[in-house]
Amino acid sequence: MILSLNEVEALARKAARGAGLPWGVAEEAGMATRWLCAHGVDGAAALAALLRGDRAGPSGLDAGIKLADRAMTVLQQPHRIPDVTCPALVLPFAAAIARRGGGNVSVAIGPVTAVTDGTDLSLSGDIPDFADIAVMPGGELGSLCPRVGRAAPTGDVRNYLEDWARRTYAPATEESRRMGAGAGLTDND
Amino acid sequence: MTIARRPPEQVMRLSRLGSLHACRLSFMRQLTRRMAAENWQFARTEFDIDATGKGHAVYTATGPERSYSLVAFAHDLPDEKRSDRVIADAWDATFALFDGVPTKADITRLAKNVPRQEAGRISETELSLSRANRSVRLWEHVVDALADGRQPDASEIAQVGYLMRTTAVYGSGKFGAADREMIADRPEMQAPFQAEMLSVYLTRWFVRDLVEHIAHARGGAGAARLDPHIARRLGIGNSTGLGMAPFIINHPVLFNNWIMAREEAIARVRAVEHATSNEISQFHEIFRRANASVDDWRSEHPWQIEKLTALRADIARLRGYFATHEFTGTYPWDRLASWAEKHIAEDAQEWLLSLMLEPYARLVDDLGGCMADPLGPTTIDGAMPVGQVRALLKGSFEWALDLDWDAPENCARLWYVSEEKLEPRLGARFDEPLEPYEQPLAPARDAAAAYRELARFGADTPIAEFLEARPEFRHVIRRAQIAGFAPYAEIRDNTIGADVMPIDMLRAKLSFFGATHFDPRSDRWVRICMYAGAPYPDELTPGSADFWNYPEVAA
Repeated sequence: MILSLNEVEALARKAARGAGLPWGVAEEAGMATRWLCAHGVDGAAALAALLRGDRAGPSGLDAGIKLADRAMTVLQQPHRIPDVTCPALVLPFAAAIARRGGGNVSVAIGPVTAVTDGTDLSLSGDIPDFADIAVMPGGELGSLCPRVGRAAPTGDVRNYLEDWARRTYAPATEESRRMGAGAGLTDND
Repeated sequence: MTIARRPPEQVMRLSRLGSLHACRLSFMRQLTRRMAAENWQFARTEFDIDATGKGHAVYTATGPERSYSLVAFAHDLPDEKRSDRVIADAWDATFALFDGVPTKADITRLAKNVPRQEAGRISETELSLSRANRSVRLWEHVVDALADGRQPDASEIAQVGYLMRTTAVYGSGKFGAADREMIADRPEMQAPFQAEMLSVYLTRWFVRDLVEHIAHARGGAGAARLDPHIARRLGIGNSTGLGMAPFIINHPVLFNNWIMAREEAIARVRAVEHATSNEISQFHEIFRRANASVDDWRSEHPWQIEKLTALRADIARLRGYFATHEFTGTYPWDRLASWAEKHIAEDAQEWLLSLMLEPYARLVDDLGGCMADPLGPTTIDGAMPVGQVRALLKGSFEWALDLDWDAPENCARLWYVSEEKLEPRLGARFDEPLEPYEQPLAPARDAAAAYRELARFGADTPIAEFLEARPEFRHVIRRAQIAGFAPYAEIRDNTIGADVMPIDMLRAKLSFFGATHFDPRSDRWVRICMYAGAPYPDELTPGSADFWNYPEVAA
C-alpha cells in the first residue's frame, strides 16, 4: 500500500510509542521516518528493524538524537559512534545539524558516504543494516536522492509497525463507546 | 501610538478561546474573497443521480492556474445508520476534492473508495475526503414543500440552518490524500484549510441541487425550485467531536499563528487614531447585522442558552454605550475595546473585537497570509541552558507549577484514542483503566513535572544533558522552545481537569474556519453552521464575497 508522508509519520510515531519509547522520542522517530521516505530511503523498514531489536548496540535513532542535540559540537569536529544498528535513521538528524550550521554535513556509514545540506541528500551506496558511523561537517553533495511525496513500505513492515501502533489505542468497551465521545449513536433529528 | 498585542495570559484562557467568534481573517472568508477577486469559474459537469437520491455528481471550480473538483456521491441511508460519530460507517453523502478535473477512470476509482470513507483509500490527486448527513427534519420539510410547489417555511429554515452537516472533512494526507506540502506553495492554498473550505463551499451547492432534484422526482412538473433568498440562508452544518481539541494542542506553531494574526489585527485597529465617517458607519452597519445573527443563534443546551443570554445582554449594554462613545474622537477603537474589557464579558468582548476589524480590510487582510505554518517540524536546540528552558516553562505555565497535579480534580480526565475507528475520546482517569493509553495532551501538567526535574540540573547545563538523562520529557522541552518564538502556542489552562470543557477548544478552532451558531450537544460535542448567507458560485462577486456571514437587515 502506498502511504502519504503524513501517514507514514503517524504510523512511525505511534509504533515507536506503542513499543514503549517516550512521546518526544516517538515524535523524532516519526519525523525521521518521514524524512527518509521523502528522500526515497525506506525509513519504515529502518524503524521496524530498530523496534525488532535483533542486534545490540546504539540505534541510529538514539545516535541521531544525541548528535542533533549536540549540533554545535558536531559542527566543530567529527563524532564517531561504533556498532550502530539501523544507521539510516541518523541521516534526518544530520540534516537537522546541517540546517543549524548552515553548511553541509557528511555521514560515513561503514563504506557508504552520505552528504546533506539540510534539505537534500546524496548517498554513495546502499546503507548497511549495521555499521560504525562518523558524522562531520562539510562534504560535497553527489547525485541527489530523488524527493518523493509518497512512502511505499512493504506489507510486512507496515503490518509490523501497525501491530505496535495498535498498542496506543484503548480497547473498545461499551462504556467507552457510550461515554467517551460525548455524543449519542444516532443523529436522526 | 502603537498598541501592543494582548498578552497570552489574557488571550489563551480556555473560557476566552471558547468565546471566539469568526472574523474577516476566517478561512472561509479568505477563500470567498480570493475566488471573487480572481474571478473563479464554476461548473456542474456531471449530475447522475436517480429518483431515490443515489448516484454521483461533479462540480469544478477553476482559478487562474488550476481547477479543483468536488466529486460527490449520494446514498440512500437507512435512518438507523445515521450517526455523526467517527464510528459511523455509512452516510447520506460522501465527497472527495479532486486536484484538477477527474477522468471517468478517476470517478470509477473514487466510487469504490469515497463512500467507504476511512475504510477506503484515496490518492495524491485528492485533497480532501468528507461526508455529510441530512438534517432529517429540515430535509423532509424542504422536500415536502418544494415537491408540493411551495417554498419551505422561513422559521423552519432558521431553526436548523442547513440541509446537511458534514461529520468529518479530512485533508493533509489522511487516508492517502495529498500531503499539505504538495499544495502549500500554491497561492490559493497557502492559507490554512483552503482545500477543505473549498470542498465545503462546493458541497453546499451540491446539496441545494440535490434537494431540488429529490423534490422534483417526488413532485414532478409542479415542483418548485428553492427561492434564491431562502437558499442563501442555508449553510452547511458541521458536527464535531473531540478530534479538534488534540489538533490545536498538537499544532502549537500553527495555532499560535492563527491567534497571533487576529491579535495583531486587533492591535492595528486599536492603533487607528481617527476613524473616517465611512469606517464608523460601516462598523455600525456590521454591528446591526451581526446582532441579527446572534438573534438567530439557537441552542437547546443549557450552557449555551446561558451564554447566549449573557451575550445578548452585553450586546444591549454595548448598544447603550454607543450613545455616549465618541467614535469621532482619537483612538475610538482602543477606547471602545478598553470599555468592553471593563463592562462586558469575554464572549461579547471577542464578538466586538471581531466586528471592529470589519471596516479595516487595508490593515487586516494581509495578515491572512501569516496564518499557515511554513516552518515544519521544530528541531530541539540542545545547547539551550537549563535555566532558559525553565524560564520558558515558567513563562507559559507559571500558574501550573504549584498546582497539586495528583489531586483528583486536577487530573480527572485523560485523552485517548479508541481502537474503534480511532475515535478520539476523553476518559475518567479514576474510573476507567485507560491510563496506559493516555495521549500527551496535558502540556501544563507535563511542564510542571519537567520544571521540577530541571531544578536538579545546573542552570548553565545544556538541555541536551537533561534530555539524555530524562528522555521522557523530550516532548515538553520541544514545546517550551516553541513557546519561545510562538507566544500564543500554549493554552493557559488545565486540559485534564474535572471541569475542562473540550468544546472551548473546538470552538476556538471552528471560529477560525469562520463557523457560526455554535450549538453544543455536550461538553465535548458541538454543531455549527458554515457558509450560511454566502453567495453560491453563480452569485459570487467581489461585492458579495466578503460580509455574507452577517445577515442582511433593514436599516
